[in-house]
Amino acid sequence: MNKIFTSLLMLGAAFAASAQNFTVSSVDGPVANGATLSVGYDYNSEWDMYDWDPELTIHANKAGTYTISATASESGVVQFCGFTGQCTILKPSASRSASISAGQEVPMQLDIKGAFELLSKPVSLEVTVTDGSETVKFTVNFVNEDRSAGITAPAKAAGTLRFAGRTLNFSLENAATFTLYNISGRQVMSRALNGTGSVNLSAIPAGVYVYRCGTATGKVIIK
Amino acid sequence: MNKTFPKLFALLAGTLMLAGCEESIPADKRYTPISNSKPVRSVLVEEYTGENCINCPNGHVALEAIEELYNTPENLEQGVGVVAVGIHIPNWGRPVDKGGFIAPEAESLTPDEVNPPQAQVNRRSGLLDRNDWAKFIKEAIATPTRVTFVNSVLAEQRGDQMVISGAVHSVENFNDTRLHVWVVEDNIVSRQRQPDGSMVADYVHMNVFRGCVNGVKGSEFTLSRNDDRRFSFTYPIAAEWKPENLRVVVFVESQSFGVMNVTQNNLQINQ
Repeated sequence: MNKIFTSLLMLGAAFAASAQNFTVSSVDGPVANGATLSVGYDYNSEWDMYDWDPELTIHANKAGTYTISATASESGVVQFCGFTGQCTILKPSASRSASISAGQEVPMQLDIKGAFELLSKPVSLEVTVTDGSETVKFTVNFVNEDRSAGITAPAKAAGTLRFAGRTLNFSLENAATFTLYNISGRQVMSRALNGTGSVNLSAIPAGVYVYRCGTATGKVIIK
Repeated sequence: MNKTFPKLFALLAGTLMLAGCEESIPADKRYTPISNSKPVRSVLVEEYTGENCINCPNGHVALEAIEELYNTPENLEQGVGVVAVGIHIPNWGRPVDKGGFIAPEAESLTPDEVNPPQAQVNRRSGLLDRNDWAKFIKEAIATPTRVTFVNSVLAEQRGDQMVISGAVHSVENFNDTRLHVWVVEDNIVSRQRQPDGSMVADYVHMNVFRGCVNGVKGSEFTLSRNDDRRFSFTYPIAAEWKPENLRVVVFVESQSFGVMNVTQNNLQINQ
């Protein structure tokens, strides 16, 4: 009886998930309605500039016309390059619509890129995505925290990861799997880590990567 | 009698119409451009772009394709072609003093609410999205003009200066025209944000606007019917520019008709 109930529950959950017209995701995974994301910066020393990029995307399960509305707490800071092929600076709001096919994943390109200095104060971005029948609202807080210098808060309690050039130094309380993905989402490396040690990243081509280690995720630039 | 009356009436009406035209339309308003399908002139395309604009490489590709289409040796010999200038605009890159391409005049040349990559054709199209460039350029390049450049504009390097000279011929009187002389640099290898968000270091930038020789508003340049008006300017060559990659863009702009003609010439290098 318990098995039947569990199966029905899973079927119901699967049905509910497939009934969603679209999902929104960021570099840290799916974005729930009402969520607040905190996005630190990546500093590029070669260009002497800072990027805050939550890598927001819409994955359409159902074809339709999707609208993104975004309002920033500061005018002239956040850029919006998705949907239309043109880039605009939020002053402080913008709204764009586009037709998306079922199964298509479309980057929103809502971010702060190419800043010459850190933010004078945190910038908050209210985003609403709708296809007319479903709506996902969330907040992105752009903060002055270096994403490439360490790992994000949940994993800090369980240890540290530090990138030094092409070496990853780790110190973990529990065993965890470290996985590196390129910006297309393809896995380029996976290692089981335990205790304290280092991983040689010299075989990884230069570029921007996303990593996951246990529950922690982050972005790193490998030069 | 019945046949004579319509002829006399038509003659009288025609005379009155011609007399009316002569007195009521000012000389500088007589030129009415009529488009045909064949390219007959050069057009100016001001592209608004930036090193940090992820969609801008797509704009560069689109404009290069249009340039290739029209800038054939045969067309260029006839003074026909597309003259493209990429104006790197604030918010989307670095200013010149930080090693970027945002020229001091760029802010004054940037229209309000521009969303790169957008462009203006002959300063008459308004801001156009990339997909609309080809259509407007096709129309503009087939619109006859009454203003031509006499021979080629000469741009010569003299030490750390350039000397630019030329002449403009007009078949009408125009008293609302201005002459603009700009410096543009090609083949600059520098960084550019790509559509996938990554930054590449060795992107080849073409059509980079470097500066206005005679100010952002240009010079007053009234034109007389069937007359040649000459011009001459001297302008410093900045240390970071490569003279062999420089070209000079000259255009005549009318308040009434937008850009009436444009020409470009490479800087001649003195060894």
